Amino acid sequence: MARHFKAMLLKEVKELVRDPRILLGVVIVPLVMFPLMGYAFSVAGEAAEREVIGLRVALIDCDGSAYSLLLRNLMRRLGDVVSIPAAEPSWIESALSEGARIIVKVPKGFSSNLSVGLPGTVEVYLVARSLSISEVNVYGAVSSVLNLYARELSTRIINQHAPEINASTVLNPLLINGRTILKGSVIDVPPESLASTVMSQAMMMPIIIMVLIVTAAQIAATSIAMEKEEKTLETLLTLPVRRVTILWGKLMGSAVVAVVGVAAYMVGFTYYMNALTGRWQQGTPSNTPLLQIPLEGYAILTASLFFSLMSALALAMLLGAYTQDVRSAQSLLGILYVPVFVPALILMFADISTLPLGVQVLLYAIPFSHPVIAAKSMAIGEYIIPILGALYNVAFMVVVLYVAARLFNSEKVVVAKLTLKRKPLGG
Amino acid sequence: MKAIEVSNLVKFLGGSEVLKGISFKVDKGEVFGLIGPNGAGKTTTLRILATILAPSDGEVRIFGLDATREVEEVRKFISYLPEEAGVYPRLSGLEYLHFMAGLYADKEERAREMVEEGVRIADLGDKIRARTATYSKGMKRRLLIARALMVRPRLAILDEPTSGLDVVHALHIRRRIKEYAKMHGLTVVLSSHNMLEVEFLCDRVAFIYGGRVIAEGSPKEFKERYGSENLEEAFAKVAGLG
Repeated sequence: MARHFKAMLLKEVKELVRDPRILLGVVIVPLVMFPLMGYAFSVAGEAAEREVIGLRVALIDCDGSAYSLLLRNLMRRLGDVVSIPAAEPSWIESALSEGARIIVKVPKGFSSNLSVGLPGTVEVYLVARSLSISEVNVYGAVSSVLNLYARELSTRIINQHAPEINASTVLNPLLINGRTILKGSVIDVPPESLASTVMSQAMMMPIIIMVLIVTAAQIAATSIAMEKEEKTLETLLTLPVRRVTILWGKLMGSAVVAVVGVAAYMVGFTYYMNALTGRWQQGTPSNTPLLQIPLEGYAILTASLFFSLMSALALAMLLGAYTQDVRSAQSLLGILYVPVFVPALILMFADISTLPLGVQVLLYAIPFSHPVIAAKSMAIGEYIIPILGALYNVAFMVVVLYVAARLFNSEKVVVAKLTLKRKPLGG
Repeated sequence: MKAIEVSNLVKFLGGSEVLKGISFKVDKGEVFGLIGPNGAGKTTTLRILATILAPSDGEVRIFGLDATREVEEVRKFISYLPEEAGVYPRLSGLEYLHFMAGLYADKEERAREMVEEGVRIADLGDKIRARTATYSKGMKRRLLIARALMVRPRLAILDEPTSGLDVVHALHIRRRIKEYAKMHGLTVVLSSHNMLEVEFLCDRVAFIYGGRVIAEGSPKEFKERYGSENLEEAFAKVAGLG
């Protein structure tokens, strides 16, 4: 039995990893596509950053005051500041001919407005060269200098009119010292940091689980459909091997290849995310020790994931058995994507307890919800629901495997065929 | 005890009665042929003998075992070659034989012997180490017949063993079947459209037509009984095809 299983498993893995469709789609593409996408983002990001280095700013100072001089000095942080005479009638054309990316005009009366307690107005023009993110970056750089300028103006006005008051306190009157209470204990983690940790776990875990289940299901359906397409199934079924062993060999072979595929996906995806955000994940809230899942939690999560993975594989195998070739199997597999994607997407954004009762029941009934629920619950030390979910997944897996084993033990695995009949056109 | 005993075999497939009460017996060490036109029920009969399909009615016994209830025991001593059998394209011929031998042999040593025998039967030279995706139809069929015979089954079930092959490959396969049946006392049940092949290989044949066995005997008996030059003419006379 073990000997037969080993032979079946080896055959499955060899056949699958040597299949260019699997090798390309499951391993090569994630390892190449994501880094390429990340590289593209890096290149674009770097180009956008270069755009804001050494900006040329044209300043039309119609006010000629100390305040406008302060603005001119601050603007130098952006790059060259070119003065366009206020008397110049076509100052925009002049600024453009100077190659300015930003034009700032300080109208006459700017400082007198401020001195009587009215806001001063400056006109800012962005010379847009294209509709791209780099233009937004340029304007962002100018905005931060202007914010600094506004703060400096406030400080000066406060100091001028009420020298006894601390301008810094007026500008920042409230210091928020946030703490979090987790499992009844106060922990020194700011709530905004906790929120981003939860976000990171709530988003990443469903994505990983979704990808793993879908990848494994695709491989399993392909594996059985390939036997039919290559006309090897009939011979296989007459060999002195228990049909359950054939089924397990296929399930585990698909699972092994899927795990390798998901590892490749995660390597590629991590590179992509890092390139996108421009930094590695170190120091991010997911490293907060109190939010790490303990070892026993990982054991429950792994069990829950394994059982739902096996259910997905057996379901995919059942669907694959009803087709005659790989392409039809892949199409039919679309049915399985709905119960995989929908819970993961809902649980990414919502806590299950906040959902309407009917939706909660539906999500608990879908085995693919439980690894996602477990990942989120155990991060905050909740074990009962994940354990119940893992047990439910065991029961579900047993039922699906029983049905799959029945199918494999019957002639249906050979003769079963799902055909979509087309209505003939006309008479 | 007979090698095969088929009694009143009935099979419904897709709502049609494909087999309408077929009966025949095959002795141990005999090469038995099923002859008939397309759709007569030959492949369905062979698939039932190979334990792929279950009978709707009737009984099939292989070396005394019930082919419906004792399938796992039956599978230990049969070897089936379907008409449209394929091989795993991403395995080499040698890997394919290793995989199959590993499922039949109890010990590694016996598996190695089977593979050596398979390599000899297939006689593909260095190409045995190449992936089967690079094989021609004839080479694949040689590998498949090697797989079916190397495990020394008590019963080989061969559906159109040389169908669609050129003369060189067809001759190679026929000679191997004949040689193995004689050398190892192998019982063979095969189907074929090629009457020369049937005359060359079979000790006895059954004519199947419309899901029924319409006549049974040796090729020589048929030719004498119906005054025909060959089995094709004899079949036409028995089936009333003029």
